[in-house]
Amino acid sequence: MNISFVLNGKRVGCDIVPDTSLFELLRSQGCMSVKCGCETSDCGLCTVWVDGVPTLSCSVIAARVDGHDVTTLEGLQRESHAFAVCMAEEGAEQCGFCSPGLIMTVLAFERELAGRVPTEDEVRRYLAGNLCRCTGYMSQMRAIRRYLGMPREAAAVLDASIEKEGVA
Amino acid sequence: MRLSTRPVGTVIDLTDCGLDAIDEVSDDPVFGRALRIGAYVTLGTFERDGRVADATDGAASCAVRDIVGVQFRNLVTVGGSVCGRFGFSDVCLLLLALGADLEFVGGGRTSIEAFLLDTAPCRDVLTHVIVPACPVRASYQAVRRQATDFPLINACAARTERGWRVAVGARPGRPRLVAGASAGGGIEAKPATPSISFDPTPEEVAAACSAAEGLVYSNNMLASGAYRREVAPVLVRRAIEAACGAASLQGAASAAADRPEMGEGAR
Repeated sequence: MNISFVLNGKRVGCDIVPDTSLFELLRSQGCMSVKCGCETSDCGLCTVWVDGVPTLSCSVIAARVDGHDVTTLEGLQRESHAFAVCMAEEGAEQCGFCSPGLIMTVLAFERELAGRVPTEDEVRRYLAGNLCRCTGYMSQMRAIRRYLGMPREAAAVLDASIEKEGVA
Repeated sequence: MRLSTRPVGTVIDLTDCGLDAIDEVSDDPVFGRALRIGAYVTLGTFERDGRVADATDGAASCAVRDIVGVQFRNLVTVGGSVCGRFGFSDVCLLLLALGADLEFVGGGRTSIEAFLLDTAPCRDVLTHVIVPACPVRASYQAVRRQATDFPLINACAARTERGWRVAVGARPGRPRLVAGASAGGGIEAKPATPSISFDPTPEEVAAACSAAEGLVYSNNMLASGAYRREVAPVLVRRAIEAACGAASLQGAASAAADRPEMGEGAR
């Protein structure tokens, strides 16, 4: 079946097998940032935006995006640069496999905040659907706090209490 | 479809049928003021919508915010959650406690209570969930082994001008009312459950907890039936107390002392 949609600002026409997932379609279109880390719609690595809304591309039938707007990290290179620098400076990735999905979710969160600084709890809740096998999330949280302008003092106190109690 | 190997011959996408809207109406034939929630409304929208928050006293957000993640909730729909009728469904539990109605293309309007009691496969198309938009106090409670996992037991209490309704779910069977249901035939003859007055007495709360103990519980990979039976009354009590504010629960402390058989495990 033929579908037509906007991918990272460019209109794309494809002839797909009906049960193609959006994840498979995007990688076939060269969007290799989109990863698959589970088979249960849990890990968030495949996160893309459909009409600006963060969505699990592994769980969307590609035919559903006909006429819609899809954004991957490849289409957010300028917008993602500042956060990527924060992540690099905080050592926020090890294997890096989860990073594209995390960045997509953080940028979506930033747009929803519309300039408001979130609480620690809001950040953790919003990112609950982005799993990382490597890091324990400490470095990502440092990067996110810096990027979203969250208080360093609260971050330092939280990190200290976590170190003391051994709670991740 | 994502997780199964069942072959599916035809998939019909209903996303352009206008079922992704939430409309507030004042002339609902049953509820008067009501929210008509389209079946294609995502759990993400359900979680964030201010009108839903008002109609559920914030319980809607509490019920769905621990489901997997934001991206997942931006895909899963209210209609899909309802029609699945899964025992662990936080959405079904919440809507049962709120006394919501459902609208189907073929079958017309029915209560979610009747839909959850019906064991026949659903061959109809759900279009709307209808929730009363009246002053409400509500509380959703759940126990999960780990964040974003299925609840192993959950409970929800809601007090509206129509009275109290309290439900327990994830038994692992489907959610069931333990207070506020009327006796009736319908699909399955069911006995009346305890009623609770606007400001609950300790005896009424204890009766609801006792009704929760009397539900059928069984084992699955998340928890044993015995554990669920032990915890469910505690969640019922917490939900009622949270919904009406602990200060207005008459003699709450003495009620707890009067039920030594609840024991440590129930705390």
